[in-house]
Amino acid sequence: MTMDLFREELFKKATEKGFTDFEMSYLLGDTLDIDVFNGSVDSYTDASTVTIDFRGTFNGKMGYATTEKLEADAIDFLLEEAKNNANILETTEESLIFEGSKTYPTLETYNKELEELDIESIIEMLITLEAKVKSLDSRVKNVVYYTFKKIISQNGVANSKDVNVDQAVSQLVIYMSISVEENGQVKSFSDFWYANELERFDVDTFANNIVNKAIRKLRSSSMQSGKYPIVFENRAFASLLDTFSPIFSGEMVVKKLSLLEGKIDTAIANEKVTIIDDPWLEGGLSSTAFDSEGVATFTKPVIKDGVLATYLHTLHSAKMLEAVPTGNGFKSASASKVDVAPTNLYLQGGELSKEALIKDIETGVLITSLSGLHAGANVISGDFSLLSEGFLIENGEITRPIEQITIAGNFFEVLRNIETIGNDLSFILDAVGSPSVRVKPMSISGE
Amino acid sequence: MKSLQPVFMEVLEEAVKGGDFAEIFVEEEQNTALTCLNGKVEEATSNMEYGLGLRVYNGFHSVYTYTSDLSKDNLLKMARQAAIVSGGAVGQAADIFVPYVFTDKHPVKEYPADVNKEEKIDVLKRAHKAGAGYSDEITQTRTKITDRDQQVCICNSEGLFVTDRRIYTRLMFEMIASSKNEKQSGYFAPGRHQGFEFVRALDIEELAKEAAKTAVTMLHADVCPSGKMPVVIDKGFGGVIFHEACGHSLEATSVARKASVFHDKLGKMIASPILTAIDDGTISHAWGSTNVDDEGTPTRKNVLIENGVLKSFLVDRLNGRRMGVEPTGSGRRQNYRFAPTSRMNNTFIAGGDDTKEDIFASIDYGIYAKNMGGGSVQPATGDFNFAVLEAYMIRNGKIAEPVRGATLIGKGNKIIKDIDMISEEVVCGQGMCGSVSGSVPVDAGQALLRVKEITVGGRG
Repeated sequence: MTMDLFREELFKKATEKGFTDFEMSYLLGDTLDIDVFNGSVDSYTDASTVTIDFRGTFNGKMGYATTEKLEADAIDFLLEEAKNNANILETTEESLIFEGSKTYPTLETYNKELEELDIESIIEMLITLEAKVKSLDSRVKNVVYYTFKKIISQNGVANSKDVNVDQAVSQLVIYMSISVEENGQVKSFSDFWYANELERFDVDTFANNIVNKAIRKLRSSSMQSGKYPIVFENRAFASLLDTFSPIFSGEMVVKKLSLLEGKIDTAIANEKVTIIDDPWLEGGLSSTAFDSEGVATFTKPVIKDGVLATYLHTLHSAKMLEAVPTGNGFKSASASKVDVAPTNLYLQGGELSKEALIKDIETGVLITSLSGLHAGANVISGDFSLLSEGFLIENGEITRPIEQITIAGNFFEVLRNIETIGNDLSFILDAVGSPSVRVKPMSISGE
Repeated sequence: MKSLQPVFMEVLEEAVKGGDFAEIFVEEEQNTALTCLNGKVEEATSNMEYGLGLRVYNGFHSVYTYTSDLSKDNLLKMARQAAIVSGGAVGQAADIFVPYVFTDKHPVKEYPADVNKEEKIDVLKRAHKAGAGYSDEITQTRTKITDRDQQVCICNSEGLFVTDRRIYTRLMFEMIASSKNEKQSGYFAPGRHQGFEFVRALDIEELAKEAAKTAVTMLHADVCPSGKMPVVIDKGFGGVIFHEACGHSLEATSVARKASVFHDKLGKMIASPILTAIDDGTISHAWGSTNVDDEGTPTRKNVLIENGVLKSFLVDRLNGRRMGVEPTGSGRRQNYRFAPTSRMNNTFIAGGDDTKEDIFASIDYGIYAKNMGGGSVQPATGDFNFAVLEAYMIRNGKIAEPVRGATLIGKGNKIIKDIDMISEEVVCGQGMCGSVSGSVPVDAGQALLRVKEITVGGRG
């Protein structure tokens, strides 16, 4: 069955079944995944999937259902389940089915050339890269995990109020994790590259960078516990911002789970801090013209010069808080209900280099990675305590690599305590970016 | 699925033209979730997942493909493409399927679809009432029930044909306590490979109150101190310490690539001599159990470490080939979109001979980690971390004031040597474990035990 036909049938039957309005969003995905190990292709995955989400208003309540079957009997499943789900809800909501935005941006998110990739030459390049990495330094022990991904997808939203939008998105990702060993100590480092064109990938640059970053960790040891001025390297801070991005969620505010409730237009961070949600970012991993509810996206600051400018909204949270929808209503893979998600979220860079941030620190720590973010961070309270790695800073310089420490703090305090922001903006694969930042002293636990 | 046998046979025959082994995994799953916020139903969702994953082996290499389009034409096209990419010598497929029949260790009395939604909602409302009623400081409650009905069919070119139906039911209670500037939560999420009868057997009010109590206690708790100190980890989900510190590093997923700190330590003493650790996929109705794994291999009880000596890894088919060992029934995947790899099922540290009283009495200054959150590990280096959700100081052998916000870190190969006192009663907690083959349900457990020294990352 084609998507168009499925939608027609679904909408026709939805009306017949008594839904007063309704919406269907779909995702057609094609993924190519090549893993290389020890000089040859280790695993090769090539697959396509379809996901269809339906929601509709029945007796004033919104019911949801999702299917992966693009077949006629799935239509009945969707409608029956959505109806049942609507009936048991105890919170009536006015219709959230969107009338449509006046205009939708046209973004360059799809590279047609990726449809016809020369797989053989890609495999050859991947094997060359692996060999190069292993040859750069005798301390390189293992390429632990290494994958090339090509993702092509088409997604769209259509509803009973005549919204009918779709777009195509493509992305290439290379991800590698290596281990190095010296004198019995093993350290590992992961790096990645992404773009919409393979021509942009340079084997030597990637290989040199991943090996250097791994090697610099060798001879790590712990350090004395205490409070130290901290510089978070760009990707480390990006991972922290990623973990705490739900603090900007309008849905959290509506549910009274947010400490940012009532704080719009108040200072919540140092005045140097501007954090932007940018769905139009060229080459961005989460660039999109519209959200899962068919709302056109636009670029906006979440924090501007330290002041909380807006929450990120679904249609529901925008309505409840009497705000303008921000086009941040998305469905996560596992849930049927739309929730808030940022698109490309980043802390805007400043003027100084990372070295300049370190220069006047007498004793401090450069944090290069954070682990256990899914467990050691409390999004509601802002508290975190995380395994980290980095370098000791002494008299304005990096002296030795540090491991087996935790850094603990509170994210809301961190935002206020940011002192300087670097100019080295970098994004992580979750589409969150940050430059290196310097923060007032924080607790380090080690020896 | 049985009616599709001829189609599957053809697909496997096509696929194995490019390799020495082919396997089909078909899955149809329905899952539902009901969520109450502050006692009112605010989310009710239903999902249907449906698809087929095809794997072809050529020596140590594999090709994987999956689809939601189960028409014969599409499947054959997929199989041919997979064979071409796999490019190995033409292998043989068995002529017939020999169905593998087993006794279901996880019989179900009440299937999720047969239970009235109102009954499920009633449980959530009762939990809300008990939790919210525990204290004025409880300002929000989130109570949720999820169920999963997963029907799988696994067949391969060796002639294996097996089907299984897995029913999972899980509750989640989150209670949030607030003061002017602070929110802390208490959390309880029991689950079983079982139907709604599991929920009926629980003392809902008691569990909700426990979660509420944790939230309120943590609201008033001091920040946890930092430093290296002895830690007592409570029975139950505290077993996540072993899961993270050790378990992942014993999966063939990393061992086969020599990317684990334990890859060359079989038969060697790697842990404290009082430590015995087991991964058992056969425990009736346990959250991490299955009758057969997702490659069709029957699950088993695998003794991983016995009195400190490494006895076994957790092995799936493909990595087993690399390592030259038999699979241990540990091949798992989240759904048909993932190729299987070795994972844990129900992992626990066996009980020991020490008493709880002696364990606490042995510590002048340390931490009692009562409720654990999740964590993670880097198998290549053994660096692990896990979060403590509820903790107390131990002073002069006694449990003292509550503290919060601690993460415990260490190196897996060291911490298992530092477990030096283990009490008797083993309890397991439920979690979802994420790895390269997706998110799978697991139990993690232990008896209350002592780690003689761990780095505690507090804020004080």
